Amino acid sequence: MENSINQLIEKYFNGETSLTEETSLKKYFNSGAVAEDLKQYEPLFQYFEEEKERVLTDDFDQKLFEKIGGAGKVIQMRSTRMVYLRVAAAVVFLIASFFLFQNIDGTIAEPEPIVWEQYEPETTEEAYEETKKALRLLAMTLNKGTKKAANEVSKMEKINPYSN
Amino acid sequence: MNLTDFKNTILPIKNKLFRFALRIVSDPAEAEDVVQEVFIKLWKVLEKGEIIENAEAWCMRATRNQAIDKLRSKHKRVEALDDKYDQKDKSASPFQMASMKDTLQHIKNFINQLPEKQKLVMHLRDIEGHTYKEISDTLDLPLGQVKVNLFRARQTIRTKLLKSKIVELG
Repeated sequence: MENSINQLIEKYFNGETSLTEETSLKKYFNSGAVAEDLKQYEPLFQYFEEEKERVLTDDFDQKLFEKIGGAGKVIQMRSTRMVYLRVAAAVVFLIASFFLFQNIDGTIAEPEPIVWEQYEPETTEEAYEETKKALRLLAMTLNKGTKKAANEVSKMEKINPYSN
Repeated sequence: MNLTDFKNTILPIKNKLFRFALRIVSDPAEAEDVVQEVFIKLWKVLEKGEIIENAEAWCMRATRNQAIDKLRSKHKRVEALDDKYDQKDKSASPFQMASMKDTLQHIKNFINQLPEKQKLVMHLRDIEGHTYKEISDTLDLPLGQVKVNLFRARQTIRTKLLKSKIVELG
C-alpha cells in the first residue's frame, strides 16, 4: 500500500495522475493512517478536502430569489401594461378618425380645395413687400443661428485653457 | 426556464462557484456578491430565451471574469488607500508569521502565493476535481498550458512544503 502511494505521490507531483488516482491519494491522506515518511504531504490533501466544505451563507438563496423574482415580476407587469396601452391607443385612434372624417349626415367629408390664387399679389408693390417680408424672416433666422454658434464658441474658449 | 428549473439545475453549483470566486477575490462577502451577480446575469440571458448548452461552464467562465473585475476595482481602491497613508512595508511582521500556526493556513498561503494561472488550475483540479478539458474551457487556456501550469504549481507547493517543515510546526 505504502509503496503504491509513494509511486502515486511522485506521479501526482509530476502532474501525471488521473482523477481516480488523485481521489485515492485524497482518501489515503485523510484516513488518519498515514505512514511516517509520507506525513509531510498529509496537510496538503487535508486542505483540499477541507476547502471543498466551504459553502455560501444560508440566506444566499433567499437573497438571490428576491432579486430574480422581483426582476421577473417587473418585466411581466411592464409587458402586460404595454399591450393594454397599445390596444387602447388603437381604439382611440379609430374612434377619433371615424368622427373626424364623417359628416353629421353619415357621408364621408370631402376636403375643400385650396384656392391658391387668393394668396397671389395683385400689384408690383405688393409682390415687392411680400418678398421683403420673406427675406427679413430668412435674415432673422440666420442671425439667431449665428448668435447661438458664437455663444457656443465662446463657451468652448472658456473651458479650454489652451485656447490662448 | 422557470424559477423551479433554475433551482433544480443551476443552483446546485453555487458553492463550487463561490469557492472559485473566493480563490480569486479572497473575501467571502465579495465572492458571494460575485456568485449572485453571475446568477442574475444568467437568469436575464435565459429569460430572453437564449439557449446555453453548458450552463455550468458558462457560470464558471462568468464567475472568473466577474471575480477578476471585482479584484481589479478592489486593487484600485487599495492602491488609492496605500498612496494616502504611505504604507512602506507590506510584508508580514515576525510576530504575524509566528502567529500563523495553523498548518492548513500555511497550505492556503502557499497556494494563494502561486502565479494566477497556476493557482486557478490547481484549485479547479485538486479541490473541484475537474478534467483538463473543463479547466481549459473555464480558464480559456490550451490543454498543454493547463498541464504545464498544474505541474509547476505542484512542484512549487512540494518544495515549499518540504522547506517549511510545517508538519512539525502544526
